[in-house]
Amino acid sequence: MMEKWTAETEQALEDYLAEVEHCALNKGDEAAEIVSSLREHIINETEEIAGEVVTLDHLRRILAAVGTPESVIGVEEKSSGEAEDEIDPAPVTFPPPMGKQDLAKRPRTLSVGCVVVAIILGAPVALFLLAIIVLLTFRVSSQADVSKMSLLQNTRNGLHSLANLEEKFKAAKVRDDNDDGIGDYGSLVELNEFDLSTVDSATRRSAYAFTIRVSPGTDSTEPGFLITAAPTWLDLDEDLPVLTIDQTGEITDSQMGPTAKAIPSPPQKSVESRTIADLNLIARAQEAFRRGIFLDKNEDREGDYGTLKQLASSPANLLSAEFIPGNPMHGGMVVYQYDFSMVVAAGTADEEPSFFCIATPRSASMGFRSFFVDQTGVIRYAEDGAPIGEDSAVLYSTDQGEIEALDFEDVP
Amino acid sequence: VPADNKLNISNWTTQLRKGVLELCIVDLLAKGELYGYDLVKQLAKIKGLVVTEGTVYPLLTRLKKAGLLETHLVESPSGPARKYYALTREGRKSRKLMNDYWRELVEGIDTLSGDKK
Repeated sequence: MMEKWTAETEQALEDYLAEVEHCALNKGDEAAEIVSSLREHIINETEEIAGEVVTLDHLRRILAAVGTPESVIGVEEKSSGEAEDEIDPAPVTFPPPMGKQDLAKRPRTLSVGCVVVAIILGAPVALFLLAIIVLLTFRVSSQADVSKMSLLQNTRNGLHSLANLEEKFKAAKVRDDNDDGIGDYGSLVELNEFDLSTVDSATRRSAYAFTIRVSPGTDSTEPGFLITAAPTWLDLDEDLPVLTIDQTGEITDSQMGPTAKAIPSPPQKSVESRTIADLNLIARAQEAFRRGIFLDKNEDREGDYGTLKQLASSPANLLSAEFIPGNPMHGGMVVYQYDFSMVVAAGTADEEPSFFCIATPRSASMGFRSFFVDQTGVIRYAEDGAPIGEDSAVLYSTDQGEIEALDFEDVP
Repeated sequence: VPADNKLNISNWTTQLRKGVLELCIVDLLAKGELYGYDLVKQLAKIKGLVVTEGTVYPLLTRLKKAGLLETHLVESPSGPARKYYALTREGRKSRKLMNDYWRELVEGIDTLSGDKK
C-alpha cells in the first residue's frame, strides 16, 4: 500500500499524525489509538486513487475532510461536556503572568520569611506551614517550566506545519517567478490565501510571532525560505530562543535580539509583555476576520476589519470576550492595567481597509508604555504618555542579528 | 447571557452535535458491528452532524474507554488490519436510556413549540 506514496507525502502524513498525537496527549486522550484509527482512515481514502501515486495534493484533499490536528482533537475536546465558558473559547492560552525569575526567587523569600515566623512563634505549626509553602512554591516553579516547554513544543510544531505548507505551496506552483516550471515558496500572506486553516492552526496557539522570508529560484539557485518564530511572551525566561526553520526542515535556535531584551524588568516586563502578546493576537484575529469576510460594508467581497466586539462575537470566535469593554469578563484586563481601543476604516473603491489598536496603560504613574499595532502587524510603542501612532518607535522586529545577515528577499 | 454577549452559536452547536453524535453511533452499532471507516462515512452523510471526519475517532475512543464499545481487529488482504466496533452489554443499556431520553426531549420540545398537542 505505502509503496504508492511519494517520500514527501509519507513524511507529510507522519508529520500530520505526529501533530495529532501531540494534541491528543495534551488533552489526555488515547493518542496511540486515535492516531492508528486516523492512519487507517487516511489509507482507506487513498484506495480511490487507483493505480496512481499518492501525492501531496491527494493527501491535502484527504486531510481537508479529516480535519486539522487541532480540530480533530480540539473541537471534540470542546464538546466533551466538561465545564466550558459559554462566551469565551479563548483561541490562545497564555501562561500565568509571572516570570520564571520571580518564581525562582520565590522559594528563598518565602522560606526565609517562614523561618522567622517559626523562630518567633517557636511552634511546630509554623514549621508545618513552611513545608506546605515550600512544596507549593516548588509546584508553581515546575508548572512554569512545563509552560515554557509546552510553549516551545507548540511553536516547533507550528514551524513544521508551516514548512510542510511551504512545500505544498511550492508543489502546487502557485508562484513561479522565473517561469522555470519549478514552484517558489510563498510569503505568509500567500500561505494564508493558500490554506488559511493550516496557517491559523500553526500560529494561533503560540505566543510567538511568525514571519517568513522567501528567496525565489533563479537559473543558478534553488528557491528557499526562512520562517522565524520570535517570542512575544518575554517574562517566562530571559533566554527564550528565536526559532527558525528553512527548506531543509531543520529547526535552529538563536537568542533574542537586542530590541527584545530591552524590555524592562518585572513587574513592568510581565505586564507589558502580556499586552504585546495580546496585540499580536488582535492583529491575527483582524486578519482572519477580514479574510473570512465577516464584514463587508461596500460589498466588494473584500472583507473589512472589525471592532473588538465584532471580533469577539464573530462565529469563528476570533477573540476572547474579555477584550470587550463593559463585558463582565473585562475584569481580567484590570490585572494587567491596560485599556484596548480599536479604530477601523472600511475599504472603499480607492482605499484598502485598515485598522489600528492602541493599548493604553490605565495609570500613568506605573510607568508602563503605550503600544500600537495596525494592519501591518508591526508593534510600536511610546513612553511617558507620549502620543502613539504609525510613526512611533518599532518595539519588535526580527530583522536583526543572524537572521538579517541572510540575504533573503523581504516579503511582507 | 449578558447583554454584551451574543449566544455563542458555534459552542452551542458543538455541544448539541456531540450528544447527538454519540446517540447516532450507538444506534448505528445496534444493528451490528461496523468497520470504523464505514461507521465514520455513514455518520458523515448526515448533514451537519460531522464537521470533519477525524473528529469521530477521539469520540469512539472515549466511548470505548467508557465501556460502551468494544473493538476487534480483522485481517485485511489489502492493507492494515481493520478495526471493527461493536456495542457492549453496557453500551446496549446506555443506548436504550439515551433513546428514551431523546424521545422524551423531542416530544417535550414539540409540545412547547406547539407542533404537537
